[in-house]
Amino acid sequence: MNIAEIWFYLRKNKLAVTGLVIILVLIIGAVFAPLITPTGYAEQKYLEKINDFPSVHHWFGVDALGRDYYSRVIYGIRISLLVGFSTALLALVIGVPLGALAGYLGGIVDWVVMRLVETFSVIPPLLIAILFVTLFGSGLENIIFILAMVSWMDVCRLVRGEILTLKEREYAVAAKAIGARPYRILFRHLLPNAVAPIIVGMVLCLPNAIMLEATLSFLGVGVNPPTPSWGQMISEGLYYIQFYWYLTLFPAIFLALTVLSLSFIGDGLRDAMDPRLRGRG
Amino acid sequence: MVVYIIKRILSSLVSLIIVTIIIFSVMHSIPGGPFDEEKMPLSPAAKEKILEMYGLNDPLYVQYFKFMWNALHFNFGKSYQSPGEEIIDLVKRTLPISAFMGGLGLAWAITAGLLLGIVSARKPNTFLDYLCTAFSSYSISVPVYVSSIFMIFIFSLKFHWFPSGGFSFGEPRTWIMPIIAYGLFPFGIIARYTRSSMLEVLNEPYILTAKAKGLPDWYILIRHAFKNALIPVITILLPMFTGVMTGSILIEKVFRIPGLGGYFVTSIYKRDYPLEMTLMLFISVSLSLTYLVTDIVYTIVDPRVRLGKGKK
Repeated sequence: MNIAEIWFYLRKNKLAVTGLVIILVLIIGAVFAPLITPTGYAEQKYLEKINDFPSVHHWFGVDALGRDYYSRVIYGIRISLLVGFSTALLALVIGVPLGALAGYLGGIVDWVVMRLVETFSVIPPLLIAILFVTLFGSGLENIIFILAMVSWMDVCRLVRGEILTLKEREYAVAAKAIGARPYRILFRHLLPNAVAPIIVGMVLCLPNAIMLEATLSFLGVGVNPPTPSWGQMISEGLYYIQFYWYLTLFPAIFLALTVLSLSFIGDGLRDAMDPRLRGRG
Repeated sequence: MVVYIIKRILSSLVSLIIVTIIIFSVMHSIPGGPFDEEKMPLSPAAKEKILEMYGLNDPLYVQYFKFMWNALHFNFGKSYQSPGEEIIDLVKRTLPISAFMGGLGLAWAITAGLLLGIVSARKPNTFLDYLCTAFSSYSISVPVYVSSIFMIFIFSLKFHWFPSGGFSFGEPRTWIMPIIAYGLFPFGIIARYTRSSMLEVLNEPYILTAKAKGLPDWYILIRHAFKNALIPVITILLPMFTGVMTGSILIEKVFRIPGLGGYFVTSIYKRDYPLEMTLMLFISVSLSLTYLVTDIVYTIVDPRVRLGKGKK
């Protein structure tokens, strides 16, 4: 399954394409944030206009600390996407080798890895994350690390399943027959062929990680202020909701858009790579 | 089959033991203890006595085994947060509230989710189908606390239809919004899964056969399609019951409901070791059980799933 083929099927999926466009716009917004926002995310420039409603000068209004809310929401894209992508990458770093070894070696290794996966699956990710945050402390790097620790299991399962089927293929058997070392078969022959499910696993991991970060920040154990995290902005907006409801609304809309687009892309990719589901629109 | 179930139970037990050990050690590695003086200074002798009373001076492994042994006998000790009652009484007091709300939430979510899923698969690319996609997209992308906040904003603050929080069994008006909130996420997921599973089944040749036989539409839909479409839905249905517990952490915070949800978080913050262990044990045991039951139910409803070497 090559990339051109996947793109051919993905292009037909309207939802996935919409998601892709939205994510691209968000990424451009995140990269060029300083150019499209009037102030930095932490500058308290508008103290005389605290809790100002959205207007021509302040598209999303001004928050309780006199900061331009539009700037904060836009800089928030950076944080969310950074958390999402780094978490997903780290989850791959943990999940892919474990899954590959479990699937290829089988036996006791498989058993141990699967018990590890089960161990992390019987406690809700939110609870493990809260527990680890109290241990390691909050902050951006810690949150990414902790989120990766609670989200590598799906990738691990996917890779294990893929390797289990791939290792019965002729080329794997042939490589074994000419005496290639197991290590070489696994990393040179099998894993490169398992790239498709690895990518799907990674993309499906993204929205969950972003959502979890927002929830942790909402509970006050996520990214530290004044770093603009949407979850935190939602929770701060809560105090003023009776009059300044837009303080909760704008970050919530951006969070929803990001999560939704990413999950549409993930679903689309999965369907595009699964021949049975193709051509359904 | 029996061998498979026994194997599964044994390996789940191993996982559960690892879970308790990890949580116990993480819990005790968090700096600070339950009786650090923040408000009232204690004399060293008094503090020593309290620590001795709760067995906190014992080596960690002794504390661990003591807790696990007592837990096996359903004696979970006393919570440090509310020393007046046994943990088991605290759970008995708060769990029914969470279970009641969560149960009703799931009830509407499952009914509505299955119905919407079937209807939209029956008529793909119609208004109802788009409605189904819109609902399920909303429920996976908007966090439940945001929906809850805006429900309070609109229905309590603007229209004064429902109270903004609190809970009482005698007052159904306090139930409505939390129950809606509990069901939102499961509803969307179930509708989405049912829709895609129904679509897959409706393309099968046996549906065409049934149509060719001249069976009525609704009969094919229920008898032939729905029964088979339900199989993949089961895998997400059962874990939803425990998913409700995580939901309770956020929902009960927003609606100020005196349920079990809040204790999941406060027991961590307050270094309430026995309560934290009890709750984690409770949630991990119930999740393992749901996974096990899901697997067993799966083999019963879908004879195509074979269990290793057991059957020939």
